[in-house]
Amino acid sequence: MSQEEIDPAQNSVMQMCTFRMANRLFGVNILDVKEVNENTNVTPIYHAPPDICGYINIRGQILLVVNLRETFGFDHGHKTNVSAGGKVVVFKPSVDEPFGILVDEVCDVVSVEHSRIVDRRAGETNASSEAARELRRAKDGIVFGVCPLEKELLLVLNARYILAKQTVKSSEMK
Amino acid sequence: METDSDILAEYVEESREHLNHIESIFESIRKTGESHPDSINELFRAIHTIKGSAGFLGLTAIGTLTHAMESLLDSVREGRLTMTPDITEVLMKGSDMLADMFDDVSKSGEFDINDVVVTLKALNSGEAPPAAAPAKAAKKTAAKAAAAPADGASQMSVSDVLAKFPELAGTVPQPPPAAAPAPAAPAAAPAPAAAAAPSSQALKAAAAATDAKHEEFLRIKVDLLDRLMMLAGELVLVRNQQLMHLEQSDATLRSITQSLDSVTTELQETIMRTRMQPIGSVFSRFSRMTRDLARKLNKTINFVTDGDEVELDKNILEAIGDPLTHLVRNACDHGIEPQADRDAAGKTDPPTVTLSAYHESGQIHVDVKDNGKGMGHEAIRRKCLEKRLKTEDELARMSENDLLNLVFLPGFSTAQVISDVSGRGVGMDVVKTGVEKFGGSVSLTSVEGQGSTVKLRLPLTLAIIPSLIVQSGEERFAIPQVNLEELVCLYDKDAFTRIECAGAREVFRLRDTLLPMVRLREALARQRMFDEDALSEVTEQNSEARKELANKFKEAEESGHSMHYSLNFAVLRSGGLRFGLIIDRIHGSEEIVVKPMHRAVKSISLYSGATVLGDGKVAMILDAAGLARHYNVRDVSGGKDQKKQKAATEEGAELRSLLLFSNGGNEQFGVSMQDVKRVEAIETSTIERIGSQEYVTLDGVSTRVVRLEDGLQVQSSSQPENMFFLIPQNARKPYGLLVEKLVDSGHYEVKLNKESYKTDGVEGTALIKKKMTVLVNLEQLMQLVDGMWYGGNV
Repeated sequence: MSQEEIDPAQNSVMQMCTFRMANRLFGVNILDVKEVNENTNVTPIYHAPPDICGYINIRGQILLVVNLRETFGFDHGHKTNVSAGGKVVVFKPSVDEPFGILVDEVCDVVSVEHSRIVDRRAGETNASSEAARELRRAKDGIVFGVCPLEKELLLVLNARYILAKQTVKSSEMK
Repeated sequence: METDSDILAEYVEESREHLNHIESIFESIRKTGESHPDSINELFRAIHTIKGSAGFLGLTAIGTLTHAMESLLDSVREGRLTMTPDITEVLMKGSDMLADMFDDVSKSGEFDINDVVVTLKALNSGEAPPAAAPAKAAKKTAAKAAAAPADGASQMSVSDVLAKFPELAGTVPQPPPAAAPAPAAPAAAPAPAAAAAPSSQALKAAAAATDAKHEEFLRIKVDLLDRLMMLAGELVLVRNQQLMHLEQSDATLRSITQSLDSVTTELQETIMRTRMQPIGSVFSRFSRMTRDLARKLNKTINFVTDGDEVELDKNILEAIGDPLTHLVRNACDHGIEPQADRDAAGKTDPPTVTLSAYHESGQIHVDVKDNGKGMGHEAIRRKCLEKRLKTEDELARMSENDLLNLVFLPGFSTAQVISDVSGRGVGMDVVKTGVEKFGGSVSLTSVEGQGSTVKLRLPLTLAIIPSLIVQSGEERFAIPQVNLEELVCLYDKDAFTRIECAGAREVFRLRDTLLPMVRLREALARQRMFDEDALSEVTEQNSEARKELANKFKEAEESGHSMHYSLNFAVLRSGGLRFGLIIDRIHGSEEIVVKPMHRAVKSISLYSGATVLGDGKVAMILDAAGLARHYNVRDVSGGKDQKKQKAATEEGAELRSLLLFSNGGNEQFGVSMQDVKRVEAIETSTIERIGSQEYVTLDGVSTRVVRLEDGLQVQSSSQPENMFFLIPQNARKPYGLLVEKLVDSGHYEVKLNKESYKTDGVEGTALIKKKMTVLVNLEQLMQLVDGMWYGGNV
């Protein structure tokens, strides 16, 4: 567990790869990011959950692309045109099976002190059972916390939970 | 000890390899009955290697055992002893025991190795070969044998006494010569065995090892290979880009690119090959199994392998282990009858189980054959009735082959059934599903009283599969060729008149059968499984669309315009279910590399994986079974009987996929579908003649025209304007067979008759669609015709 979590005690300063999506600023731990790619030629996967754009091919490797706008419901049901522009932030294999997220624009690398991240999950410890807690964490755990920057708020995401949610979903469907 | 666990694991792994090697040497010694000094040396080296590390790792039991084996081998090596069957036997016993020990190396110390060690030592010290009798006795009781050399003439009496008074042997402090080596061995051998190794023996062994052949192999991790394969794939894409942006005018750059091109291709092929392994590695493990089984069953069974060098993908090799184990065990246990029965039946040939592997039409065939009692049709029939798997009526209509293949039915195979029927059928359905899981097939032939053969047909590799690329909407999809039966294109009016409605479903009348239709576009658009409502909705919508289309055609006709429309569908088969998949476009076939689905989308039943197409775009691979399930496809092909009979035929021993054609007159011919690459419709006027040879130009290549009557004694074609040209799959030169009319294609049950019409270029004849059909062997025919031409020219 300790390796998966962003451990506040471990390192006081964390470098974030930040990106913009639906006019909001997001960040993920830069150590989880493998590369940033152009979004080209997404092959849709019919019957997949709505926030899965499809597959792209990056140098022979097939990569699942997730559209977080859908996950967060930013577009209010409007289907985003996934093949138009944008970039794909690709995560390292240590995070999950190969996948990336679709973003509008990649911004700077920002160093953030851990103490400044407000952990959203702090109040959620009294969940009834371990399973319920796990489910909740998987669902909400994508947003690790919020960090106020000079001009705006940075939503800190935990990449490890992005697809954990998908797995929960598909098992719910069954 | 924990720090050593890696070293230990590696040691175990290595030792297993050595043991495999040892096993194969023993096999060859047993087979030929003589031992080459080289093989003895190899045995010695292998055992010595195991021993060396055992001492180092503190595995005393293994050390002791290997030391004893090594000493004995050393004596043989130096000519002090000859390799008698007894020595071979006990050495094999030792290596079997070693194999058991390596299965759980941490408990290796608990094995009782004394008997074997004592026997080994006894054989070794038996300087003057103590004739056959005492040596044999040695196998039975260590004490006897140990006593033998020491006691000379009185040996028999000592052992007799021991045999008569076993309790005496236990209580009395043992005859000294026997007692000494037994307990002493484990005590003395442990560390000293290894420590003492750097004697002259070890040095000699080391010297010998340096010039050994094992340097030719390197152990590589599979994931490293996979990575290498992926990188090669990336390189191919980079090369493709390079080719695309190549300035044609720059000659230097072009030649560099060309070499890049060829090197890349070769690199990719070579890396593919690293995954291929000879099937012998799987076969070899059965020799021990049959030996053990034979001993247990009190039979003598010859085990013969053939085609050990045939190579298969590693994954498939791993996967066929279990089915083969089943089959070999069946053959030994139930196939081969007790010697008494054989004698009674007047069978003089030694009981034999044969495993053979060979290439045929792009697949690997593995046959498991025995010359045992075969299977009784009557017994199968009886059992089927008893188990209520079939009715009497159904059985009466089945051919013998169909009957035989009933053993693959699940439910046929319960333990009682086996002993009652003919002793076959343990888990035959398990074998079948196991083999089918990776795209193979199984069939069975058997002659009562003479033995049975189970044939496995396996794909060469799992990673690359030939498939058809189709399009629906904007997207392309791959359909594995194994699921594909045929492609149908309906033109113009046929497109909307030939598809009919049956209840809520759309069906198509394909020759004699009703084919349920699936619209890929609809299947993709609807995420929920199709129920009757959804089906009727789709059917209604489409019948509306058809009406509209019909109206348009009518208008066009009335206004004098010609209108064209076509509708494509692919006939897919999954299990016993056949259905037509309506697609928008067909792109052609491509060999694709299958990548598994991402965990997050794995639960979608429509796909079996994804692949990268030639242009770099990802395409989904359609799963025929999942598609049928999603679309709620049911068999509409008619009555229950027919269905069942079809199921039985599918399991038929010689079910072959054939293309039937005629060549003028009413003679019917057939070729294996696998041998045909494609079929072109050509106009005979385009055929050019050069001397006595005819050519037609296809895709810019002059292709030689072969006529059936060139090679075979058959009626000549009447030369109509439109004929068909079959292009063979593996031709070395551009050839094609010109035929007049295509009759049909599909899976037919073929009972090959090789006698009635026998000539080169022909496999034989068979009754297909109630007509005698000559099965043409394309490759042979081409060679034959080629030879005649050359023969004529030279």
